Amino acid sequence: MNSRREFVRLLAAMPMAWTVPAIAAEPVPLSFWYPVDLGGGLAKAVDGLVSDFNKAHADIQVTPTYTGNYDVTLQKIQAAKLAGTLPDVAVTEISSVPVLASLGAAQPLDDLIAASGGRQFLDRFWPSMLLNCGYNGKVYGVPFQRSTPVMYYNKDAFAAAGLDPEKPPQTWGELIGAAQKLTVRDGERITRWGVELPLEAFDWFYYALTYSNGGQTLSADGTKVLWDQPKNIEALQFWYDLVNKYKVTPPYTPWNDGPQEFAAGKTAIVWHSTGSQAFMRQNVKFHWGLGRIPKNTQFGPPSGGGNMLMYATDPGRRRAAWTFMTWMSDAPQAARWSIASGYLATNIASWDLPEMQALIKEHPEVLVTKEQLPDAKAEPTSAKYAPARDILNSLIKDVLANKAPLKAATEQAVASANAAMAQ
Amino acid sequence: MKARLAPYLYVLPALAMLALWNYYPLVFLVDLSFHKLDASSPVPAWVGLANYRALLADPLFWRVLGNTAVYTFVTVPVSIALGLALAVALNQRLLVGGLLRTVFYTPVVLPTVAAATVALWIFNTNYGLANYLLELIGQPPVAWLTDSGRALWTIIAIGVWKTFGYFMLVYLAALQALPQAVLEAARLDGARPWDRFWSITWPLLRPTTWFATVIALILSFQSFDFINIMTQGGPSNSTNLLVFYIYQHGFQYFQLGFAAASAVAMFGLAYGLTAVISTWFNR
Amino acid sequence: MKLPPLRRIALFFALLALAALVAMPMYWLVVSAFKTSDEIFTPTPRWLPAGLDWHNFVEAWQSAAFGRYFINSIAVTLAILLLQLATSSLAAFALARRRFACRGIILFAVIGALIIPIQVTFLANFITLQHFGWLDSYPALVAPFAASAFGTFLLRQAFLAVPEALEDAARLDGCTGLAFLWHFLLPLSRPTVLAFTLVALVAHWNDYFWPLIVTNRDAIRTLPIGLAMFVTQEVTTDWNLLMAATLFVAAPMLVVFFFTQRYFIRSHMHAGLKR
Repeated sequence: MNSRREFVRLLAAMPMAWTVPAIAAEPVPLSFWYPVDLGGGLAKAVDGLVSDFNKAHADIQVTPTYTGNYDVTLQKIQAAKLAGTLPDVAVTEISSVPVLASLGAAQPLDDLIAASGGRQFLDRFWPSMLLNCGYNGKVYGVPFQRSTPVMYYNKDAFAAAGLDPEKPPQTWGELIGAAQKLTVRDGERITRWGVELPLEAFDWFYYALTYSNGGQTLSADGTKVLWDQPKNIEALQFWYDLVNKYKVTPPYTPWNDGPQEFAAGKTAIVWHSTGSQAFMRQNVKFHWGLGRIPKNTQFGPPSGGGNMLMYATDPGRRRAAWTFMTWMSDAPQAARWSIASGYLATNIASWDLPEMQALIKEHPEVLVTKEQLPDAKAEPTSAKYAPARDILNSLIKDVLANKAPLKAATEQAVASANAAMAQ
Repeated sequence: MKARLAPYLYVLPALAMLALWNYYPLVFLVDLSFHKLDASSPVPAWVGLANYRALLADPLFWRVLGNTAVYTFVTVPVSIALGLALAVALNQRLLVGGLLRTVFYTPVVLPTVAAATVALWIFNTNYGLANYLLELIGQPPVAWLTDSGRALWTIIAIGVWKTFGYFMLVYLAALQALPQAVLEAARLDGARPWDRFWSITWPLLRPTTWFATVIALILSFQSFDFINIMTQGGPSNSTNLLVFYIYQHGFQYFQLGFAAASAVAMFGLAYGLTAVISTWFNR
Repeated sequence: MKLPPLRRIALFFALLALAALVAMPMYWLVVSAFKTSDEIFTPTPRWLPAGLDWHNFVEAWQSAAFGRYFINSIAVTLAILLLQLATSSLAAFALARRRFACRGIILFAVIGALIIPIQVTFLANFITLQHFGWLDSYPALVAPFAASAFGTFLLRQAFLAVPEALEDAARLDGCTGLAFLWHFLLPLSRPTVLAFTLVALVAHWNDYFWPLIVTNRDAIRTLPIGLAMFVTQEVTTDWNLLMAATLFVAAPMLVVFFFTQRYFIRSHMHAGLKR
């Protein structure tokens, strides 16, 4: 009798024994694609983070791959989607979240978020950063390398022009006043501009201006642009005036030229990414400071940078990928990545960590970037927004160069953009 | 029998490879051009000629065609002429001739990303080398890349700079192969160098010139790298060439079916142009 | 043609002036490679670096696996070159020296392949490679370039220029077909073969786009990918590192060109008509 009971108990225990080898199986392999957008040394930083993750998680093995810049990363993802070779996790620019979601490449994360604490998990991030992580009511991305625009100004030039070097302009009016004093003219030629607003493919500073004036540039459903609404027209008018009325700003500054011209003393103020701080520290030989993007009616810098999206569909890989994505956004890692890269630390708690405090002590201007985060706004985007973005870019260039009348050209651009998005 | 088969066997390796890696993709692309594949249609859906109709109806497409025509019809003759002139000039034992030839070939060898970055610096309006030199001779600065009337010409200049070395090389090789006896005879006859060149050398170089023209056409696609890095088609689509338009619609706007149609159009135009050139040269 | 001395000198100086203009960007590149980052963005151009600082080269080399990339670039470029020479000379031989049915059509087709750019082919080729299971491996970098319409064309031109009489004479000596190709056609077309080699070498050595698309592992990636890491979209480029890296990427090609370009100079021997 006893031996039979023993036998049955042994049998009941056997499934457990069988599962033990399964648990000690091969680690889940994950592929992680990342664009490095701030220079070559950062690839090492990413590799360091990934290798630490692998050491701390014996059951997961992440292989990181550098995939060029944001554009080429998108191309690789598109090719991979067609060929069925998508990576498990990849970082892409925030405005591509809707299109990657609608193509069925990126996968929704809501179930995984719920399992990790739902709202409580999401609360670790700056709310403004979460604005560009969703599509159609679902969450697809986790903030990873994020930035906002910020104003770099030449403190020495301020002092020389009779301005307080510790008080950068906070409003549009103050900006005009400061820029007028800072612009150095040599007859007809301008040897130093007052302020430069570089323009690039994502039209960041247009949004900075429209948000600062309380405007919205894209309808809530993402199908119509609103550039012809009064607040947005005013914003573009302000930019136009800087160039053509007050003549303190050049009509077109390519994106990369901004920090370079600032370092070379060709402009006293330049608006650029928070990510350019490292460049400034390395190359600027005069005293410089950071200021918030000035407001007209409200502070509202637009968001920028990249999010981590998941492409894996297999449940086992999804769980592993989620472990990776959450680990990378834990406070210590977020702080580490921010310090190495110059991107903003996405985890609110990481700003209180000793290493971040040390950074702030050494570079107090970093606090300005933190100050802007509560007011930051989303980057306007939708699944079909890309052609509209290019139309906006051309509009701004033409208006600022006085090649097109502001109101009429804007109305025409709105019509073209809406048509392009409807295709 | 074996002798009859031989030529087919000789062309087979090349032809098979070309078929797999060049022709098949073209067929694939033509097929794709008849489908809609974008954010609202993630699975390819047959639409027949709709993409082509949309292409012809797009005013930007015609603008881009115009830009591409200007770019092609300037860079091709200019870079070939420059290459030929240099080949003729350097086809003799000159002091530091080897060094000079290397200098002229260096732009060809330079990776595009580096060449584009240096070009961006040289042509910067506010502190670039070009405007600095203009300033030295008392001229006002020029907005080389940021003025929509000028940018295309700057890109053209860079295109010529990057490719003329190829043609110098090709013509140097061809000049090597010219029958010396004929040229010697003409020289002994007392013909002037200029006349000798035009009535003897130039006609003998015709096959090379034909070939160079076709190659120049292909090389004009390289402009994509410069546009992508330096201007992204701007300002205001003034440097948007067909090669970039395709990329823009395929990989920035995610409209793969439409982009495929424009790629097929580009291939058709390039092929037609090549056929016209070939007929003209081989008459 | 030999010019009179005065003309020669004038020509020489004209060439020197042009060379200076063409070389100016290169000069700037070389000088920047020796500058520290903040020396580059000065209000007026600084023609000379403060010192010969090799630090940029070291830092650039260490930013990515350049040693590995170098080996891969050499291996891949040479493999492509050899395959292209082999397939092109065979095909060019048939197209230039043999009459056969479909010769015209095949020639026509080769011209067609000549003008198909990478933007057209890459997507399909990527999917093809995935079917073969070759993604992220050496075959992915080499196979799509195994044949060259360009090379086939160039060699056909060169082979056409060799007189038939030569082939008849060779046949009498028992040298026919492929032997003739190897012993006569190719040596006689040496300048053309060299021209093609130089062009193909540079094209594949500098190819950034294709290797980036089809490879993920550092172990098989090539030099231009390392170079691209210094160029960014969101901030500004790591100038001095990019220039330093460019130099060690471009140097091998320049060295190869410098040592082979002497073949393109008229020597005292007449080419082609002597055996």
